[in-house]
Amino acid sequence: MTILVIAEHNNAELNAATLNTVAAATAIGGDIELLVAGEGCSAVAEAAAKVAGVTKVLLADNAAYAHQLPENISLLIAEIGKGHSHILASASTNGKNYLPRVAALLDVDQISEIIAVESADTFKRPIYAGNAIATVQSSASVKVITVRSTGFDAVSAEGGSASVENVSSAQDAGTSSFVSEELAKSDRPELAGAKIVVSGGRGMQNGENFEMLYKLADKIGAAVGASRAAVDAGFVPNDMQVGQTGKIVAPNLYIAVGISGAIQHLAGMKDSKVIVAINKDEDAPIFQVADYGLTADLFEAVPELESKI
Amino acid sequence: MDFKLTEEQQMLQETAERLVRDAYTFTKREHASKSEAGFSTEFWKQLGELGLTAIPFPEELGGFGGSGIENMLIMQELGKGICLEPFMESVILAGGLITQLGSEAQKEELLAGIASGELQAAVALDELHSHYDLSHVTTTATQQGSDWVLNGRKGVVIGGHTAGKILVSARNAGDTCDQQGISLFIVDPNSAGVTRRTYATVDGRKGCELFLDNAKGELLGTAGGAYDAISYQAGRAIAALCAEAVGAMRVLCDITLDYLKTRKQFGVVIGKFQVLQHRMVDMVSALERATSMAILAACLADDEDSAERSAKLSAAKFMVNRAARYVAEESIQLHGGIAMTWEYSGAHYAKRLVMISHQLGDDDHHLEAYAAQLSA
Amino acid sequence: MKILVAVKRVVDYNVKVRVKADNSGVDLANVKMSMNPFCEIAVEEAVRLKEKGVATEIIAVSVGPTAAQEQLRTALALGADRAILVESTEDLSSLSIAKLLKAVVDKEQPQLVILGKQAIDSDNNQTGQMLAALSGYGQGTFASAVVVEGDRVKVTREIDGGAQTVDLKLPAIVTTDLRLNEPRYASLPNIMKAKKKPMETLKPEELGVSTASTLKTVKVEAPAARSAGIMVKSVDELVDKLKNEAKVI
Repeated sequence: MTILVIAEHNNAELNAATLNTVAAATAIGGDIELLVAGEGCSAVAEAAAKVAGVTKVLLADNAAYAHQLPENISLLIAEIGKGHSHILASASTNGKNYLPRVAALLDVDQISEIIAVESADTFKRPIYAGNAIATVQSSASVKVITVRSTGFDAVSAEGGSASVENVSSAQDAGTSSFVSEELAKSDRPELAGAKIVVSGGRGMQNGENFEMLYKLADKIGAAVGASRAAVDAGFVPNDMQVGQTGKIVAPNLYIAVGISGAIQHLAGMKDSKVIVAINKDEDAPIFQVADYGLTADLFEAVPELESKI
Repeated sequence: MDFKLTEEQQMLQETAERLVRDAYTFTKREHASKSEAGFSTEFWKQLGELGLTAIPFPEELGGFGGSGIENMLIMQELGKGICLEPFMESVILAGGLITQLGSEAQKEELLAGIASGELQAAVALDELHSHYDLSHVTTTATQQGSDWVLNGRKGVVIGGHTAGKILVSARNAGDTCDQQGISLFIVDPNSAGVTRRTYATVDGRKGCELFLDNAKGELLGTAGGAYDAISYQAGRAIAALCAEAVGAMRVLCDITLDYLKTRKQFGVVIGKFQVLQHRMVDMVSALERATSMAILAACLADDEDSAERSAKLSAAKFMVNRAARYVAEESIQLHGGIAMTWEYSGAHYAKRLVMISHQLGDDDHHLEAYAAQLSA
Repeated sequence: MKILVAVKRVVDYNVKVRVKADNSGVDLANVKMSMNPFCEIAVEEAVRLKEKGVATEIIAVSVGPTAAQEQLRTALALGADRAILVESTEDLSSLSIAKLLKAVVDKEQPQLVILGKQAIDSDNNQTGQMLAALSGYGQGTFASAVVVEGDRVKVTREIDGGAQTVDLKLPAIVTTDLRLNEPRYASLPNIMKAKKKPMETLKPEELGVSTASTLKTVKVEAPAARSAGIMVKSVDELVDKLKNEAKVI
């Protein structure tokens, strides 16, 4: 059994999510080949070769793959992946973009966003926005799977010594081209991938008071989020919203400040490893999901936390 | 009986449901309630743009020929959001009176505006001591040449403070409680001799007292012969209020059930206590009875006037009134103190429900009316 | 230009779904069903393109049970010109649906197909991409802006950490993200008009598509509940717990 894992990268660095995807492949068991497709991405291949558990790195360095255009890269993955038992990619916006194309090209169903491996053909994945967990079994010749990073602990980025093999195939479908890319610039980590998230709710009272959370966040390297109530009240822009209709996060530490804990919000953060809730109202539903609850006036507790943490 | 909605009715309900869900968040409602109009003029405009204010009017008047069922669907959704807009007052009651009594010219002039929402109308039927009796009219109408001049005072004119036109019942003949001799007039609230004193009602809406001092009114229908139409249209309005109450009760039951499943006492969620489960079940069964009566009311609201129609509408209002107050009170009891706070939406549902149970007749009034029909 | 819009009938997004006691799935008895929210955005985008004069005809298509006619009728009330229902009571996989849509695409020859990025029931996020692969078309997934210029379309996509713009040759596939537009409400006049718009029903067999799947749902469970936490008395205690017990700082 040989598993093909598609590396997530920006041509310069291997994205950490790849380590979680390799972890899922390790859980399935078998030889793991890592495909690095891009342009001028040999540094990525070198890093990929060191990832624990990887037996071989396939490097497809070609202009057609520079921007991970799905029309091109899916042809490459389908070509290489045909003989493999599994093809895995991270459920990032890249993986979600090209992998269903690969599945269709191979005429097999895809299994999206798995969070656990039961056996080589059986997996768990959330449905209905995480309100139910389905166990699905696949009889496909090649099992095409996207992996939710938060479901698997990353393998070590060091310790492996895989060989790097060049793939000469250059697939250009000629139906699409890259125009531009705009990545948000912020010193704070991105909400979706942050290890620590500090979120504020209606209890913050206004947008200015969020300054307090930014200060705390900067001290501990956290991203800042908000509940829908805070967004609806106009305290902060809606790209900060954590919840079923906003961003779904699962950091190691989630600090909810002045958030009552509406179902909608809980759906977006309940998979966090450790949840801290600070709220004046001791009956707030947020305390039922919190690992550590503190009943306190947030305007006193947050500055104190910032000074002591 | 087939209670299935047609595809059009279903879509209509979905439109109303989504609109209310999006536009009537708790904070937006609070904001609208505190505004000068006391309701959201933006939401009112949307109701008009989407054609919802045109529903009950005949197609030749720019409407959609909707029946009591369509009105019910809209009112239920407005009830779910405890919307503050005077939809029933303007569209169903004022619109209904003009449709029934108005001359072709009056219909043309006013109904298109009401149907598009551009004209918000109000209806002034109550007086200081009228106590739900629509024939109790002391406001006088006297003819001076070709003009009618009105004198008197009308109470609790919901939406009257912002209305472009107010329909006023006044007496041109007969004694205080005679059904004969009551006429209906179109009054421009900005004309000479008209004064309004605006106030907030307990349910977060606004209304006014209307003082008429030699104010001019335009006769709607025939002089002295408006009572039957007023009574008939009040029946349509009762059906609409029943539907609104059912919408509000449904949400309040949901909120309460949610609370019982969340709130913990003695280490368990309070919904585990059997006595509270029973009380919750009683609330929901009251709601279901009220729902049946509201559907009955909607089905016959647009039927021809008859003693049977009036009796059934009274029965419906009686049942809905009782259920509305029961659900409101029980919800407060099951919540404890929090249900009384301004910040909690449940409190506002409870207040609206109590208010509905007094609009266009309380329990006693409708029980008496029903009994009178039985013995007649 | 002809636009094909795919819509799916799903459980209404306001409904709290419950897993069945026998773990065979979620309980959908007497549950309110609606158009998938991302599909609403797809319909809205098509209607806007028509209002701009870019599109000439909008065809709404759904694959699902007879009752999915309700969602198609809604699409017609929102501005689609006609509708096609590919009727199937089976629980079809995304690949099967993509194949059925491909057959409709072959028949109708639209220049643009707009779909929601995912359905809120299965959360698969596959159909649009698969349809693109089967048709050999370019794809602009998770779109936040769609601009048609001659025989090409520029699609701005929401990607992790920002936005990306790609240029696609028409015909092409677009899947919608939340911020692409805000769907309108069906107005009463349009609801009345929708009644008169044509709706066609097809069977998978008529389209010559086999809907066999390699996927089997073994069971469906409720997600694990979090174990109860503890209340701390002070910020000092909280910092201590985070550092020494949870070891997250």
